[in-house]
Parts: sequence; structure tokens; C-alpha cells
Amino acid sequence: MPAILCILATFAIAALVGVTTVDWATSGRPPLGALSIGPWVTWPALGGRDVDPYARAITVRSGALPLGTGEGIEFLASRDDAGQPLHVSCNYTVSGSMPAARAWTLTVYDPSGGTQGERAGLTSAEVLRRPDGAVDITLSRRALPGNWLPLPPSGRFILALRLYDSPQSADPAAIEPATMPRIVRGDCS
Amino acid sequence: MTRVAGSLAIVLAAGLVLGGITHLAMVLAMPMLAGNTAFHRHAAALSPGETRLLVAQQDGTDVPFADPAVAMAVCAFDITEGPLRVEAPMPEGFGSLSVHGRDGTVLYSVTDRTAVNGVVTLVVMTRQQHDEALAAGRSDEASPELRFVSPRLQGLVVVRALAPYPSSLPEARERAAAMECMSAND
Repeated sequence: MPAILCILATFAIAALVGVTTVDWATSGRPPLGALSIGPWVTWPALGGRDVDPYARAITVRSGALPLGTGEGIEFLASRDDAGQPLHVSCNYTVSGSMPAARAWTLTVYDPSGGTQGERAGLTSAEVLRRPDGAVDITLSRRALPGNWLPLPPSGRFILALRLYDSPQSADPAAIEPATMPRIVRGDCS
Repeated sequence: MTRVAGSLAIVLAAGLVLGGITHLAMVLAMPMLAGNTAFHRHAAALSPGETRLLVAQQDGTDVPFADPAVAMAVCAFDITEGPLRVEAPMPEGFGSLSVHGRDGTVLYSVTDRTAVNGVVTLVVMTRQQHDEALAAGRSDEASPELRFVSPRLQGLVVVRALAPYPSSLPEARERAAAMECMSAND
């Protein structure tokens, strides 16, 4: 092969490999530093200065403003307790006591991070509790009595649990797994 | 034939190695490359050199994965010329303040527990401005202000106000929008 062709081919491969892998690695969720508690995932480094280059690139690209460590913790879940992806064709129950925090919110998002309608989330103030203080929140496309959050019309969805002013935000790894709410799938249509 | 195969293998290997270098360079340069950062979106609407309040909308499109129960307001800063003074009134429920760099990463964050008379006062300054303020003896012990020595000259200050009930969202928005960002020299 002529040398010029070899050089051009080398650069073409480099550009293709470089751009596609960067796009893959910096869209979606940070590949490093995830902390999982059951189905809930958080990235503790996102809330502070010690953020790795990949997480920083993802923050920059998405235009997100992460919650600071001094403010609280943000957990995301895209699967239920059994490991099945969360999908709007099923009903789900999010139940349990919640980790210590001054306030928490539970929000339903579509995979791109948008919310649907006026009622996308519940806060700790407005939720109905069981006598023991725990909560049961039902996620369904059909309206249900009690703590109900509507699901988007189609596709997968993501749940976010935000603990505001939590004593554990400095060290989320110390959160007792039993205090995190369980996500249990009900009947599917 | 073997020569062609050999040069093809060299081209492939060199391409992959160069691709890897491109990958690392692009990830590290992303804060400079990306045009969709939070800073670009919000600071673009602010006049240059001036810090002015911008109210973040809660329609779910402005900031991805924004909490619909939380009202956010943002102002941009550039402390090259002098420190920034932020006065953010806090809501009844929960409120917090965070300082972000141009790339969106969190530099500093506090909750309304640091508020005095319901207002969090934060001064964002460089190390030199901080030293000058100390030397000038302006460090009044009774002063309720928080001082943050920022490692970055430019960035965003974000205030969050939680609305415990949907009916309290207008009030939370009003409270968040009442944040004042001004030059501390005045």
C-alpha cells in the first residue's frame, strides 16, 4: 500500500474509534464511582470537587447541575428489586422506611430526564404513612387510591429518590440498606 | 500478500492507539468542547460582566433530572475583578445554595442551616481577595456571611427551594428568585 494511504487510513480509524468511544462513554451515567444500594445507585463524587474526568464530561455534556454533598444525596433506579428494568406496562410499589433526611422526594422521569405532567413526584411532607412510619407508594398508569404516582405513557422510566439535608450525604456508603425503599413489581398489562 | 497484511495490521494498531489518545484528549477537553453546559445555557442569558438573576424553569427541559418539587434560581459570576456577594432568602421548608464551576461540577454547597435570620449570605472570592479582606480587617466576627475561596474565577451560584406541597411551589419559586448576586466591592 502507498504510505500516504496508510497514514490516511490510520487517522480515519483513530477519529472513528476516538469519537464513538467518547460519545458512548460520556452519554448516560458515569462509568466510575457508582455506589449501589439494592436497585438504587448514586455517584457520591458528583456532589463535590473530586469528580473524575468521565463524570465531569457527562455533567458538562448533559448541562446538569448536580446536587452538592452539602445539600443532600440523589439516588436513581432503573431496575426493580428483582433486577428487571422498570417499564410503564407494570405497576410498582415503592415501600419502606426512608433513610434519615430532613425531607425527601421521589420522582418519576423518562430516560432522558424529563418529567410528564403536573404530578411527577411526591415529597415526604405530602405522603401518607403507615402507623409504623413507613410509606407505600404505588406507581401505575391508572389512578389508584393512596400514595399514587402516574407513570409516563410508554417506554422505560427512571426513579429518583432525593434525600435533602441528610446526615449521611457525606458518606452514602454508610446508609443501612434496610432503610432504603424496596421497588417491587406488581401485575403487568 | 503478507506485506499488505502486515501494513494493514500496522495501520489498524496505530489507528487504535491514536484513537485511544483521541478518546482521552476529548474526555479531558470536554469542558472546553461542549456547548450545552449549564454555564453556557444560563450565563448566555446574562449580560457579560454583570451578575443578574435568572429563574430556572421547572418544565423539566431546562435542567435534566431537575426535581419538580424544587424551585431553582441561578446567577453567573466572574470574580476576576472582585468578590461576589450572594444573599439568598431561604424558604420555610428546605433550601440550599451551591457554587458550580463553568463545567457544572459542584465546588461548594450549604443548606439553610447556615442561614441567619432566614438569609444565607455567601461571599465567593479568590485566595488573594480573601487575604486582602483579612488584611483590611473587614473580617467582622459578628458578620453572618460565609466566605468561600473559589478555585475557579467563573461559575454559577444555584439556589434550591423545596416546596413540600404542590401548592407551595409558587412561594418556593418566589423565594428562590429573590436571591441577589452582587459585587462585594460596592
